[in-house]
Amino acid sequence: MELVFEARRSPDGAVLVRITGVVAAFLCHKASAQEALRPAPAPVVTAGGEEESDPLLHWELDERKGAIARTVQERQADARRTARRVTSAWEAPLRGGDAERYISQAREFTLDPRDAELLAEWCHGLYRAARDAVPTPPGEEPELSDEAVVAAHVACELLAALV
Amino acid sequence: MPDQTLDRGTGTAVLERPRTEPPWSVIVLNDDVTPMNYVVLVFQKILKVTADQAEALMLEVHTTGQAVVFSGPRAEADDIAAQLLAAHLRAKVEKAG
Repeated sequence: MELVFEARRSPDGAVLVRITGVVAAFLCHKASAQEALRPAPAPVVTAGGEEESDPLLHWELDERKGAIARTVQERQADARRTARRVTSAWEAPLRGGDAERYISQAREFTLDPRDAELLAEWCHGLYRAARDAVPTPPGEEPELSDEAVVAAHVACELLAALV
Repeated sequence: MPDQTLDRGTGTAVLERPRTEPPWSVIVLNDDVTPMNYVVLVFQKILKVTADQAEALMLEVHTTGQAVVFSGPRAEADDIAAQLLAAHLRAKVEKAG
């Protein structure tokens, strides 16, 4: 089974994506599974020197920390919605008459650059989640799952098309 | 332009120096999870730097544990930090210097 995901910028600024059904099915499954979950909590913002339960952010206490955390949370929620919407379009051919062919042969889709950017962030989140699920001793390289490899590849392909 | 106020006691116009905000730094911290090529692409996208500049910053983060990727006004620093965090990198904002 060929795992294909390629992205390139078209002359009109859109992002052209070439994807095989097997990759589309994986991303669609992940996006739809996330829909059933509660939204991710806002990043924990701690003051310098405090014990950090989640050292995502840590800078001086002021009212702007909360605003940044909300911005990040909103953007990640936007990325989840975008992933669901985009992958729904990719999923449709899997239910069509030529599903067998689409599974292994790539189709092209067009993405708005903003959607591509959010999808890249969402895919990198998938990679991190898959990577975090495999405990690895410090200094050792983890055994990456197919999920992690595909998600990381999709994120980088999309970003590379955007820069 | 400097602000001009009126000293009501003397009736003299007083020129005030424009208040300059101290710069803030956005610092990216190393992690053992994020692939290097992804970090380079995120830096190119968010910081609007070249591939070579992005790679140099990524290597600084990788080898020293952190790198200052932006220095400037607080609002801009906050915005860049939020974008880096949304891209799942570890970042913080500090007063420069």
